[in-house]
Amino acid sequence: MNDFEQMLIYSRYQFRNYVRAKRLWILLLITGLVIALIVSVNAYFGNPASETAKKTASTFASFAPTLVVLTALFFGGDAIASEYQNKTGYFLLPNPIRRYVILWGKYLASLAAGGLVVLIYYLSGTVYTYYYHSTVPVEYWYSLAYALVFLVSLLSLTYMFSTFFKNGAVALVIVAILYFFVFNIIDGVIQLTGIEPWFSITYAANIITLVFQGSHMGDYPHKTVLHPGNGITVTIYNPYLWEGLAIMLGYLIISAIISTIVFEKKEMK
Amino acid sequence: MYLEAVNLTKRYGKFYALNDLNVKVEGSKCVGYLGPNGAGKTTTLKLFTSLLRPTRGEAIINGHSVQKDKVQALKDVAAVVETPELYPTFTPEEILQMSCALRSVNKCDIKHALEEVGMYEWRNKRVGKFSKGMKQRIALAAALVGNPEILILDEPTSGMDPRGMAEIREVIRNMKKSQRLIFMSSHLLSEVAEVCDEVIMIDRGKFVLHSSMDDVIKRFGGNSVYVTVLEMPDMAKIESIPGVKSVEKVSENRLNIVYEPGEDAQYRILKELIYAGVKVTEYNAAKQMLENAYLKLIGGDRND
Repeated sequence: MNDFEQMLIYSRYQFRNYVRAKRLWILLLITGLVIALIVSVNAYFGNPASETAKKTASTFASFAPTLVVLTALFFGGDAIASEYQNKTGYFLLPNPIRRYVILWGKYLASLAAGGLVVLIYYLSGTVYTYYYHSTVPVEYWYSLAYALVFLVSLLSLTYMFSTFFKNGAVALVIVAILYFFVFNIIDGVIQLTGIEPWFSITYAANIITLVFQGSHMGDYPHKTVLHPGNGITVTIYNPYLWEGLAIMLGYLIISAIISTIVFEKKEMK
Repeated sequence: MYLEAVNLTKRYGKFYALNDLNVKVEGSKCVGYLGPNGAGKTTTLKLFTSLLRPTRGEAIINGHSVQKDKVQALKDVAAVVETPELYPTFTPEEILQMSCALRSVNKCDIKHALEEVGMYEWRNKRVGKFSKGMKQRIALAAALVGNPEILILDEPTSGMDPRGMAEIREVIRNMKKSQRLIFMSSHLLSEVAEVCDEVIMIDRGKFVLHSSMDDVIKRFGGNSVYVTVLEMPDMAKIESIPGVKSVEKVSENRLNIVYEPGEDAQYRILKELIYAGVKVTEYNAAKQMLENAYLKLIGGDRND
């Protein structure tokens, strides 16, 4: 049996573990609540039938980046750290399997579970948009594709953080703080410096919603300079669609290499 | 089939958990690995199972370095190190299936493996609420299920009740019958004496002794046995048995008999004891010899 087959086998068991451990169901419940909220708020305060299909679809897609962050946290935050903390690593690691097979088998399971959640969310948006407009704009499918690329990339980054720790809870909390606070603060502060935050994955993730802007895809300003007064200059950058994808790909590759090296060398003391 | 440690060293800062261990165990047998707490027993087993990386030296299994070629080295090896936790949502049957799949084993007799460790009736229950002893049994079954050539066991009866301990020892004895090398650490001298053919001792990360159990008996025998009895007999009666030099009562039901050199005397004394109506329940020289060896070589101050 080759490494890839072993990876798929391990991935299957890990996915079963996610389903049984209720994480998947909890995230699906949260997703369901968000969908219900979007639908009811729009129905009560807005008039989806009178807006364009693109506008309705973009309303739905606006929560997608947050959902991807939640998904990465749920399925990646403690993925590797918990093997050390819960001592399941004592069962898993002495097997004649390369460490990277375990790491990426687990990653595939997380990706399958996370991808399922994102797909269900977008499917609900499809039904919702189609219900009011009898069509779904092409931008919506691009948004879905970008959301999946963001998931692939962010999950890889989350796995990298998870390999740094030996305590699942600590790994989960630190990753949550990073994604919900630190990255957003950096993105905000950087606007005052006039530097494009090309190094930020959350900046790249903006393409999930930017795709809906303008008359055609990519029809939005890359750079906007504002002068709110008191001599302050705020520079707002929007990533090009290709740029967003490139940043996410960069994160995927770099964090995949680092996590593979760290996990390969990590000891079960 | 063999395991070999070549200059195997593990250092944490200035502390040597294992210092230049050179030892080779080979063939179908059970080798007991003894030492006090912190001697480096578990460190050694972790180095042989790729859970730790050596600071220096190599752990070699069947000619393959665990550090350089883990997959080949561990191909015919199963290990139970510490008390592994199992995925709580899985059933024992699923854990064993997973173990087979991960080890690329085609023929997996899950039923037999679970029966052997007395867990077959629990096969469909999730392991999350199992006791430590039950998890240890499942881990042992998962190790057994692939029919490995070499078994590395770290205190296999740890956390078990006396009945469980006896059952697992029986399992290990049975495993020995089917051409396997069992390398087993234990903190129970009696367990090693009962189950193993060879013994290795280490202390403070350093090699102390590698010997067959027979050699241990010869070298550390001291011509005395501990005899456990149901009722304490008349001491004078035992002292009068030919070959007996002295008798000492060590507890309510235990005697220490010092006899004249030679295994003949040992046999004669047992025969005379039975003939005299002494209700002997235990007469195990090996256990005593191992204890003697352990105390002489390592000392009792950090008794494990």
